[in-house]
Amino acid sequence: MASAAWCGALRGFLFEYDTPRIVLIKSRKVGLVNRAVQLAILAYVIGWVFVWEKGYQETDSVVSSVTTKVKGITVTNTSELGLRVWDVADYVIPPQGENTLFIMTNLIITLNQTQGYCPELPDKTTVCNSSKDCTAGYIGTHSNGVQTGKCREYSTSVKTCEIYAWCPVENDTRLPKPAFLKDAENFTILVKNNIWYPKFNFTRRNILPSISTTYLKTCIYDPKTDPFCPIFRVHRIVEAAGQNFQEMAVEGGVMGVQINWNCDLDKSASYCVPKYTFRRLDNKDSDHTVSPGYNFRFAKYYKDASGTDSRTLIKAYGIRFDIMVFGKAGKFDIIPTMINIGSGLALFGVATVLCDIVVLYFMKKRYYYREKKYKYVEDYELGASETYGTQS
Amino acid sequence: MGQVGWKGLCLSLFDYKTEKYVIAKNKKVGILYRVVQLSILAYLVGWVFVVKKGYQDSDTSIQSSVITKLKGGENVFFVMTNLIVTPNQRQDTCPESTGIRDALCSKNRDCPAGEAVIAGNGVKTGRCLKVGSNTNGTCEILAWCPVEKRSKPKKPLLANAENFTVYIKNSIRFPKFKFSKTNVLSTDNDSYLKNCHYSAQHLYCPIFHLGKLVSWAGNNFQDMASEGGVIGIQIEWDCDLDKPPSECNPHYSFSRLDNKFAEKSISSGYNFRFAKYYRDAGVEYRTLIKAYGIRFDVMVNGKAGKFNIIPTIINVGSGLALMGAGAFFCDVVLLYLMKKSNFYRGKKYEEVKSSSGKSLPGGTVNGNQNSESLATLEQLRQLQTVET
Repeated sequence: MASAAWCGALRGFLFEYDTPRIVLIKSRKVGLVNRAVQLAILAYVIGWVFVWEKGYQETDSVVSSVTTKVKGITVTNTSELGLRVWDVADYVIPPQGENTLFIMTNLIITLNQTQGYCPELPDKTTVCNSSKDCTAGYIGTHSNGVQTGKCREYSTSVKTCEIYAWCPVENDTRLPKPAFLKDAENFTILVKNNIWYPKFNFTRRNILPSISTTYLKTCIYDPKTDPFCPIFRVHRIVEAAGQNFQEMAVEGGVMGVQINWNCDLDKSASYCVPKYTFRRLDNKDSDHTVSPGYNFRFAKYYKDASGTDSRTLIKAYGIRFDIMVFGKAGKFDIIPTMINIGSGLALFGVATVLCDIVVLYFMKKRYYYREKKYKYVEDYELGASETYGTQS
Repeated sequence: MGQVGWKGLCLSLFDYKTEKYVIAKNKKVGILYRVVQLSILAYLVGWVFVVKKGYQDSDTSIQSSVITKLKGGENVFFVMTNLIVTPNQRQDTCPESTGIRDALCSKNRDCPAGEAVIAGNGVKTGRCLKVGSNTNGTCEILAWCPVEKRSKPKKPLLANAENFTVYIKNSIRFPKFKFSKTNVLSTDNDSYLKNCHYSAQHLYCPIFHLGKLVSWAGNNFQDMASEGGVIGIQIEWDCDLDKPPSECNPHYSFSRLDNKFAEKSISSGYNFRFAKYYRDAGVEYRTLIKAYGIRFDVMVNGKAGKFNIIPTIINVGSGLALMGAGAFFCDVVLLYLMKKSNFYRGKKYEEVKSSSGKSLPGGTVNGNQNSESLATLEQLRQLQTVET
């Protein structure tokens, strides 16, 4: 008998199917409301989720590598340096950078520094009248060397503490205005960018296959006429970011070159093209910020015939170009499609909930519909007789 | 009236509404339903939980630092393989290189003074210099002279760079789980790192032989050496922190990042210029070097997972919701695709016309007269069973 019970239970489990019982309400108003809400949901799912946001696509982010090359020559003629030509090896420091590029536009040069004793640069803490104002061995945060305790003449009008440092000390109080290498605005930068979408194994260069060698030798980027030429004129980059090059060149700054690769890989690969935008990344209002611009110091070291070390100290101001590559690629994939279809279908439940509320609480015949929908069952313990007479 | 209404409302809070089911004793649909449920369960347990580790919380913001023992930048190092050296340049006037189109001239008027040579080495002085009795020559320029030659050596000069090795030390940290690790074997044996090279047996020895590294990226070092290129070293940390930390290992992959297609396409390869400055008898000289070589970019990314109750519950919940898809599918089969579908539809759907009267409020009235004969017994049961 027990086995028959088990068999029955198993048969019931495997060979029976239960489905909820549905009340079909033939009412024009409710039917129309239901279909209207369902249509709105369908329009949202198809229009927004699938067509606009491309919900049927799998996305991947870009992996990129950037190399840059600057070309350009400028000539300066000053009493200190004479007639001098500046080429790429002179103004691009360091010669190679990872996604960044620095072009020197202004500089303060201190020639032939050697280690020795000389008066410090005059400022509030270093000006003195006698040796009593200077302490031997003192090094301040802005000192160029260590004080010896003596007070020496810096110029005919002022005396400062003597220090042991690279002498003569650099005087960076006055910056050349206009910028020393003001012709840097005519320099050109070639940006080579290779991108890779690893999930789709798709690679592309920003030098598109349609570009020929002759075109590349003569073109200059222009957002309207030559949007795919990877050679940029410095002046145009700065102008496109809304800045004035000559103003920026005096104290330096940081420019961002953004390369945006947004590709739809369901379309042909020739539609996958880069979009260039330019922005100034540092704070531009030099009247209201402390420490504006961008600069750094470096030195070139020499040894003369007698073996003494000497150096040329250069405080270089210039524009640093940060090249930022970003983008997303999309390609049809079955999994996000199924997920979005599933969640779209689940949303249809909203139509049911809404119409249920309308039918059961807001219509004139709501009590009648409630009778039809709900089967009232009293608590079993109150007795079987109580259930007699309830609705089927 | 209001009191009764309020009392009714409060009591109705303790009511529980459940669906009324129609049990169809149909073998075909029953088996189909169980098969669909089983496959959804198999997908949930097999794919979502076992393969995709849906019970784990993940952290993708890996913090990494890379130290390489070759000169370069932070995550970049460069190995020079070929070069063009122009020694002892000084600021002077000399004829421009013949390969530059903008500097070709036949008379002095072709070289306006003060104009910079486009893609050239200096600024024109106004004279056109010709060699011997040629009719055409190049403009004289003010530049670092002598000017750089345009042709690079056909055979790379530093081809032996292939045998160099590079030591890449990478330390990573997953901040959400406070887990850190480095890619070097933690050992007291000093000589381990001195002798090992990276291979399948020595996964914890991040010393790479450059020639092998380039070949793992699918290229030949000697082919790349003449024009240069960019190789990417991708270090991927995919860790399951439910397992012991010794199982969290980096996976190295190598690929060529610059132009992969035609080797000799326009502007291919990698090169840059730098100069070494010196002084002789008060005159400044420099040696200009155009360096071709291979730049290696190290890119680190990673993902760690650890058990967390919240994603587990979320995945269980969405898995259960998927069962509804099974019920939907079987409903379609039962009501529209089977032979007796009209019969089942009659049992499942109860039609209510909006024009029928009898709208008595709060009623316990028998609406359906046909089944009253069976109602006495049926009303004691919760479910109506339907035999095939």
